[in-house]
Amino acid sequence: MPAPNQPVLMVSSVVYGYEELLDRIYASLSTFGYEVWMSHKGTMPVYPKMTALESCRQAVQNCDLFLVIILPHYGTGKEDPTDDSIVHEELRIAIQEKKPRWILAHDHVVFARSLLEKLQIKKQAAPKPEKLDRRVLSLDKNTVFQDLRIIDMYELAIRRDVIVYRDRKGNWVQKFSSTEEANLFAVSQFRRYQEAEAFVSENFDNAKSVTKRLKPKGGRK
Amino acid sequence: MNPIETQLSQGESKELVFVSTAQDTDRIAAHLVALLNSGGGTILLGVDPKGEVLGITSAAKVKKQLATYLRERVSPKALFSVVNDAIGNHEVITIEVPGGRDTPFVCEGSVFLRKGKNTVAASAEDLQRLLQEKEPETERWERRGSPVLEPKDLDASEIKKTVQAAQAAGRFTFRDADDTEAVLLDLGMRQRGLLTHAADVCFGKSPAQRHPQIHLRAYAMQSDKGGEYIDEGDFNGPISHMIEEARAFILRNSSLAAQFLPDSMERKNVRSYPDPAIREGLVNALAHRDYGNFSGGVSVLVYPDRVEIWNSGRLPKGWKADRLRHNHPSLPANPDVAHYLYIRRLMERVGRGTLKIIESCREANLPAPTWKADDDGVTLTLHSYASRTAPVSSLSDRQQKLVESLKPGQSIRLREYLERFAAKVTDRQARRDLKELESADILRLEGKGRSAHYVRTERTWQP
Repeated sequence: MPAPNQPVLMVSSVVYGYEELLDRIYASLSTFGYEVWMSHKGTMPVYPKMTALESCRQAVQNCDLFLVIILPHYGTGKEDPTDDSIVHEELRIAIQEKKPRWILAHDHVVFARSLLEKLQIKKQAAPKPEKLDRRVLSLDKNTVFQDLRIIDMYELAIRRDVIVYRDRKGNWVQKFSSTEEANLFAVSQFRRYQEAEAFVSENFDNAKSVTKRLKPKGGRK
Repeated sequence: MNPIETQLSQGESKELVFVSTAQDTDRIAAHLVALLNSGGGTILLGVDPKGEVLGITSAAKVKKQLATYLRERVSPKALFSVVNDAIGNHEVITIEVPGGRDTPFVCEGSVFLRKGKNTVAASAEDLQRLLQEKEPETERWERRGSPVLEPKDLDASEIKKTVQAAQAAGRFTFRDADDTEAVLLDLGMRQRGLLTHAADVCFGKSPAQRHPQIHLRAYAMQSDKGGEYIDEGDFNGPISHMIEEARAFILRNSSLAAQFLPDSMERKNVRSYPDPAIREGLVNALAHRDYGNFSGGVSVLVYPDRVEIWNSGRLPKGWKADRLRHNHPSLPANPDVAHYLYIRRLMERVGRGTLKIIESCREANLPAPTWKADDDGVTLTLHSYASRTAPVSSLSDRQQKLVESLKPGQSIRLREYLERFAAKVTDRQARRDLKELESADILRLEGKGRSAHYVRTERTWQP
């Protein structure tokens, strides 16, 4: 049973094939004193009158902190296969809601984006090659990189939508290759966050109000 | 005293846990995870905290259920063995746990550690320390995805046999045993969309095409001193095939030894080396070798009086070869390959391979096997029956007198040796004398601490 004042940390990612990574991250974050919402562990809140997608959306709104792991698998769509995946949608809401967020992206994702970013096409009559719009490409089924929309999700995370560079906030994305690297990032970041929170509690007269600001909407409803 | 009884006599420690019953499965899982995170050890079920043996009723059935339960609870997938053992009239369950390399291991959302004799939930500080200690280690070779390995390069029948062996022995539960991709995912051999090097080693039809260091080379030498070779073999393929081919090579090139049965004039031809020792020696070499080193490998040299199995692995830091002769924690260099060997039933239990080799040589009335470890690798030597009567060089006068005074089976303690034969030397020198005789297989150390004593073996000695 979580303690009543535990900050709520929601972890958003695809599950299949990445269970071991998620098990470790869940255990680490729980040890650090967070209430961890993770669909793989069945700890996501369920809102009985809502659809699964609405529940996920509500969970993002209600959590205090948001960690998304962008993997080379895109995950399931909302209702139609052409819809964006639930993880993609959760990231979009976390940005809209200005949630404090941490983003991990697998090396394949970063590599795929770099590769396609520079891809050009030479048309017969054209004087020089033109940059290719990624949206005209399609990807056959494969095990290494499932869906080109993963790159859209990555670009959303790095806030490519914000034109002015200095206005891009919360856009730090940590690249990782191995499970160890991902786990180390999660541990280092959230251990520090916990330390910062402890510092606030111990050193500020108005610790309660500062802590409250960490959870403007409250974790459990 | 068998290895389990020896461990029992040592009492609970950081590496040894006693649990009275097999009912408290959550606690057993916590001990298991704690040992994986803390360098490995053994859990004995059916033994109370004071070391009194209570036994487990229907141990065989309980063992199977418990193994399945534990494998489902522990993440990431880990190598450990659950076996039945007898202590006196009681049946107990032994869980052998190697030190895990993929720390932190977790169970039900928590990380556990061994601290002294206790299993405790890791604190935030413990967890951070555990992860930071790992930081310098790069991802090990067997876990890396192979960009050139494709499903068609794998031997599907070998994957099927592995699934069947694991299921028959209750050593692994697959989510979907008919789906090859899911099987490889469950075994940790598909990582982030790529098949790993471990998949190539265990199931590759011809892994040496991609990794030349995977070859196993074998030579049969004409004389004990080497010289020309009279037979050679070069083996490549799924690891189980390499073991079988190398085993056949050793048997083909070893002479038969003639033995007379007790109270009988009948002569019986026996193999020069016991089969379990050959198998375990090969399995150990393939499990512990350094696969990432391009100049590494495994070789088998068959001489008329011995077999040498060399691998390019290294012993854990601070270990000497002699440690392999006694109970020791298991620290597999390639846990994914070792896990495959275990569920494929090529490895009977974890961390006991060297002891099994010693035991089977002893049962076959052969000299004790020897291990040598240096920067180039680890060499196991199995000595044939013919070498039993080979002269032992340069024993000191006091060692000679000791050996002449003892009949096979008789024993002596250090203090007695000091009083009767080594009064003029230091305590340290006396220990060294006995150690040398143990290495030459003239004495065998039994017991530990105050009960340690040296037993005269059958080995003849000629000055």
